[in-house]
Amino acid sequence: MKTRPLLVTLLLVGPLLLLAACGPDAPPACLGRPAPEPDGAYVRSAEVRGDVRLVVYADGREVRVPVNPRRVVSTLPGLTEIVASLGALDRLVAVSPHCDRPPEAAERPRISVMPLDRERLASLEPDLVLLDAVLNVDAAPWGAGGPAFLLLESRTLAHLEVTVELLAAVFGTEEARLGAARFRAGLDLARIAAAPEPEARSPTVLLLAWSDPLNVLGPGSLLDDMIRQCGAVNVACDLGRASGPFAEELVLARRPDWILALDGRPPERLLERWASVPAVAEGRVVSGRADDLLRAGPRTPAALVRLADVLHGRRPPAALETAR
Amino acid sequence: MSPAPRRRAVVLLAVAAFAFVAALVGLCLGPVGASPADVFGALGGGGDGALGTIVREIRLPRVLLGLLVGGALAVAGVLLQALFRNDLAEPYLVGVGPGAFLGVTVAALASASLPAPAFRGVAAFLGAVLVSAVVFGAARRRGRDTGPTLLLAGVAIGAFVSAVATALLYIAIPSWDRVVYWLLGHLAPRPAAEIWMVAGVLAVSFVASFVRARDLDAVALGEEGAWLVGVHVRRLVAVQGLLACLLAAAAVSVAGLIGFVGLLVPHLARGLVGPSHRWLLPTALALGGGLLVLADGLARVVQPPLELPVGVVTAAIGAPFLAWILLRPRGA
Repeated sequence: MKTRPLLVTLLLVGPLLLLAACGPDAPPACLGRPAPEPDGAYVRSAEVRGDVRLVVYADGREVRVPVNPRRVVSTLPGLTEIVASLGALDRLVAVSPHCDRPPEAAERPRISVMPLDRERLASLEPDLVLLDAVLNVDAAPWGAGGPAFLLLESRTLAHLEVTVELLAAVFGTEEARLGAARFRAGLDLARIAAAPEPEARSPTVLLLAWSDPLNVLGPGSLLDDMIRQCGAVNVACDLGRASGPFAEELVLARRPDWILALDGRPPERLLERWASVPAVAEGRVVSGRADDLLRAGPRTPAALVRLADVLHGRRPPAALETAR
Repeated sequence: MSPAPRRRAVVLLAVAAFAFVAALVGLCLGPVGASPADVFGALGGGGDGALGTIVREIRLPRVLLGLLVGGALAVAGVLLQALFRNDLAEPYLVGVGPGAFLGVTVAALASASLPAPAFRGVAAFLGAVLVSAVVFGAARRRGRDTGPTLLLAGVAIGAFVSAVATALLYIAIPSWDRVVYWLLGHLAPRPAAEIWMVAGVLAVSFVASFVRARDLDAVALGEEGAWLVGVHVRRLVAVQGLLACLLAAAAVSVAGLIGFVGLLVPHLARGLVGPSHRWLLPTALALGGGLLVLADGLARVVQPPLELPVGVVTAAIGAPFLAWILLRPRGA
């Protein structure tokens, strides 16, 4: 029986891993300062060519969108709110099951989005379907006769700005142009209001999506960009994705100044374990359940201002619990 | 031919030492670097605030849980492979995994999300025990040779239960991704009461199996032969099978579904000490615990700050091993 090779292998694995564990432990460079402004220009052009608008994305993909879409499907609450803010609510023939703002949108027919119910979609006969990249919905076109699938982005404020501009161009009305201008002005003002004082220390923030199992938001999420706009640093800046599981011991090691808990206040047993973390020790664990913090849409600028006010100590943390 | 008793005792001691070293490695491994000296300092109550808390309150409970859960799954695997006389038998094949999945899903219906830990653990445990009892009940309706029937019943009922749980999850639970994520298997710190529960189930089940080691040896060679030497086969299969299910259900209730430990470790242990259950059971206990602790350590350091589900690591190691079992030449 070949016992020895197995045994030797097993007994070698332990010491080798032990050696690996004793390696250097340098905190990631991204923890030291807020990340630079991301490039939001995901659309290169959206010009009218004959009877269609040709949308060319930054990566070279092209989508042909009807010049004056009359039957539109929205697949994300934030997109529905944007369409409404551009005065095009009457063009929505269906919305996702989670679209509840404005109240009139909630009365529209519903369509399952994850996965996209293509049979229901066909029965609605839309000429344009609005998708967001965060949904990972298959946007493959149906060929001639089917609706156009317009893939939009909302992972950063800059993306959101481009999305609103693009939709205003697609709807092509004066009201849409005015809506987009209002949004742009509001966002500019919010960015100014959110900016930290010069020389101010950058607070660190843990964006806690769920506490059990521990799951956080990282770069590529709208909230990550919003706290960056406020001069803060995400302690999960090296997560490498918009959300994901996070090692609990790094919460203790990276000692966030703020914990923004998006799923309600974390359980007490967790907070007891994190008692040495400044956010817990100094009472800066905030329940950030306000839906305008999570939905990329026309209310985002106001949410950004509230978030900055809380992080800069100008408003109580309760301001983030309810949308305005 | 089995190794001599003295040699097996040496191997068993070496495996116990391996489990001890693995526990130390588990205490050192993590995205926050810590030397063995730091770890010993923290265990003694020293170390700076953060590292002390990390070692004592996060890593130590994880290591303990890993030793217990890994040991429980490995012992369950040994029992089931003996009772089924099948190299591919493992706890999740007799309905434990699908049962836990269904239990957690039904509990999640009440909260529309992943239930609170205590509720979740109880639901997973009850689901696992209930479905595995149904599997055993179905198999007992078929004559003496329960081994193959149990496996078939486990696969068929498990598939049905999984389908029901998936449908419920998909239709009725908005935060279904959290349930799925939990099911991938984690050794996150658990309350002391849950660790004691697993330890209690493991201690009782292990002793109850160890005292029947000779009967298990006889059954592993064939039910007819076991009858001839006076073993009450159906009673043994029922009692030891349910003990295996209890072990696996206790493990699943605190750590989610961690696959392949119950399949891989019995084979490794058999390669080390031979088929005698007097040696096989304690060897699997130590080896399973040690390997799961190492797998959990790997899950924490492979891609920090992301923490992989430990079930993914055990599957990544266990799946090639399964392929090797299937493809190796006869008699190897």
